[in-house]
Amino acid sequence: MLSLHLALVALWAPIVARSPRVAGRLLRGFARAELGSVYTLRWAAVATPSVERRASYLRHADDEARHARLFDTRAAALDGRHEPLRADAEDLFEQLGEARFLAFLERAEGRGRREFAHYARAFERAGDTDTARIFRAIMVDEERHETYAAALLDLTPDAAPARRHALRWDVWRGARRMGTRLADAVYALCMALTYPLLAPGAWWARRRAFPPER
Amino acid sequence: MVAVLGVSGLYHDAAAALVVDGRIVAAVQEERLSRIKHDASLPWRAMKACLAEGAIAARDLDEVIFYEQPFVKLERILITTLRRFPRSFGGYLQGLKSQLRDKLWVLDRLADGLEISRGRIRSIDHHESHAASAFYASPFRDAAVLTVDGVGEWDTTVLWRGRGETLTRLEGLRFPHSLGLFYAAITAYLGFEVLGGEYKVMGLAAYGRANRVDALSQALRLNRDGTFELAPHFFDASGTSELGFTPALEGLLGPRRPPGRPWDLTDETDLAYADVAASAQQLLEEAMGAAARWALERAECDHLCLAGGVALNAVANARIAREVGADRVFVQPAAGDAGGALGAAIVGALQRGAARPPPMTTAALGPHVDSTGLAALADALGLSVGPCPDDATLAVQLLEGRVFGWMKGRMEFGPRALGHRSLLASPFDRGLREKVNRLVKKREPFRPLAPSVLRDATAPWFEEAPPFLTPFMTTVVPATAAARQALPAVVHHDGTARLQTVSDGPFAGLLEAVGHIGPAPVLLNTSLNGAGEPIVATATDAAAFVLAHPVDGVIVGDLLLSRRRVRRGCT
Ligand SMILES: [Fe+2]
Ligand SMILES: [Fe+2]
Ligand SMILES: [Fe+2]
Repeated sequence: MLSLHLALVALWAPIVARSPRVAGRLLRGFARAELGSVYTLRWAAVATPSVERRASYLRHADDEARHARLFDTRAAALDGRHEPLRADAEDLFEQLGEARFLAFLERAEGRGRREFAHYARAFERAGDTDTARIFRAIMVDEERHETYAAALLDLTPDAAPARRHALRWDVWRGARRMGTRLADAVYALCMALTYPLLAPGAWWARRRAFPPER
Repeated sequence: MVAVLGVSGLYHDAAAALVVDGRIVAAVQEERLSRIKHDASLPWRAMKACLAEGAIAARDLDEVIFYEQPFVKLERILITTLRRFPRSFGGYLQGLKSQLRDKLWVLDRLADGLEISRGRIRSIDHHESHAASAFYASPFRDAAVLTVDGVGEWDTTVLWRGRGETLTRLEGLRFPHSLGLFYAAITAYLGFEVLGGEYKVMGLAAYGRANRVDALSQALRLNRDGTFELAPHFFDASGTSELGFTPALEGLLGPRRPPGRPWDLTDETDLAYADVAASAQQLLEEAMGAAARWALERAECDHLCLAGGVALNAVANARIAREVGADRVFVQPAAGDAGGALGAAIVGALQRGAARPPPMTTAALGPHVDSTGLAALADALGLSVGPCPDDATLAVQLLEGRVFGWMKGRMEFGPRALGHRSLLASPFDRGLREKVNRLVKKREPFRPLAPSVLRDATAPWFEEAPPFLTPFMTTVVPATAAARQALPAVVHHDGTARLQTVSDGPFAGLLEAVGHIGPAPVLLNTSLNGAGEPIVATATDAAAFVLAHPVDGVIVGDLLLSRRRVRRGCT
């Protein structure tokens, strides 16, 4: 699954790197994901019983906040759009428990780093060294995040099962995300098909006082 | 015991408030705890914090009241979608999705999440929540109440008569005629973020001339009786557009300002946008002034309470205070939708026979600052913790140009930091304004920073201090000539300041110490948060703040948290 994902990124990256508009969208998506991680980590920092891990999560969140700003600023420079940066967040610590949370962090950071390496190369080849430099700088942090998560996980007695669970959970999460996208598409299709049926209602609503009398 | 929890959420600025036996026990905004600015989810963390503050369990609640009627809101969305057919597909798709996904089932979700019976959960009207938050928290027994916002279910502006323990609805204006939607559209037109960037329009207005009022009057028509109408073709209030205005508004005012471009107020083009801001602000002030007169006449009262998002416009509030009388106006400090939770809780408590709460004299209704474990956390982060310097030492350091965060006691409810979660600096040096902006706030150059002053020492510096407004920073006041000279960091371009008066507590002690060594017991007081972040709530947030911002330190209760390992000035 992971290698399939990376293979797709490898194919896709050179195409993205050639179009500032598409690249802007991609980077804004990364900015959102980074901001989502900030929330996840800040919640983990509150939830963990260990002071050392709280400090690690706070430092990590600080890095991700910087990544979000870097990606967002670069996205605006590429496509000229300025949108408020908003992100959804998952409370992974609560969902997974701390050992599995750390295992998931290790996985996600590693995946991010490998993915960013493809993009860095693609942007370099396309001559966009500014964007490439951002990816390279962020990759250094992602590697550090991967390492510290792994090190903290190895201190727990459940490291091996947590890693196995994180793998399964990650696959399941990916499938669920695809499912959500599919459901969104089906919903949009149903709504598009039913929209014309509103015509008689529209005629009725326009004949009534607006705003309607109470 | 009568215990009622009020809840607002699923639109903007979610919050919870707990009223027990007629006392406001706690009120907390979700964003402070979730760290998501303007968090619009259901405020689970805030609810939990309120219950913890009151030391009661959810099962002991008599009632939970949601601040608006989900099904009436759905009715507006459906009818608006139908009326705009066939141009409403976006609203049909997105609007219905969010309604169906969570908004319609909010009462059931509250019952599930709190593990209490569905029968103990109900909802009241959005504007009733606002009105109750304003009147029952006010010092007045008899007052007109004016609630003004973007839109609730259908209402946008409602007049009420408040008397003792009752609120009577008198009259109202309904969607789409809304001052909130008007101001939001101008906010978007000027390239700011709607529901958050409105303060920027207000700050920018001071730099412009109100020379576009005639043009804007085509979009917002003020009637003689205090009512107003929005010309619908200028606005897109479908709720799916980020902009809230149509190309017709650009036809009226010229092309919108592209978001994100840095402001340069020496540039003609940007000054023209400042003129639009000044004109919109003037029109809003006229509309609010007229609505206030309408409310007072209709209710036959001479005191006025205000709430609703538009009542966060401190400059418009100042105009109302001038017209109505400075000591006759109360603006509930969490006037926006967060405050709806407070109003909902009070309505529920009164209906169950509880006494009306005593007048709100402080907005410090959130969790207490707790520095337990901070020393160990700071150590792990490579930060330094020491005892907090005494007031005199801290005052000296502030006047030397240092910038400190200041967390004392309970967190504020509402958007303003009032000396409980504040960032403080010297007001006597204009350079400090720039320093605070550079280190932390990253704000546009036209946004003012506010002064806090000891209540009994306002006279030489500020021309007035409306007693029920300045404790909460809900108005602006003219600065005297002396203040313009002596307090350059906190007097705005138009010679006003968004003043906070402080009468007691640790913050008053610090201001007094500043007064002993400086020209006035005044400090620059802005909220303790980085750009785009909610105000710092806990000691853990303070550590994250110090990690990200090179300020000279943050006082967390009795401790001083700072970046350097060298202890400076600690006693
Ligand atoms: Fe990152
Ligand atoms: Fe990372
Ligand atoms: Fe509202």
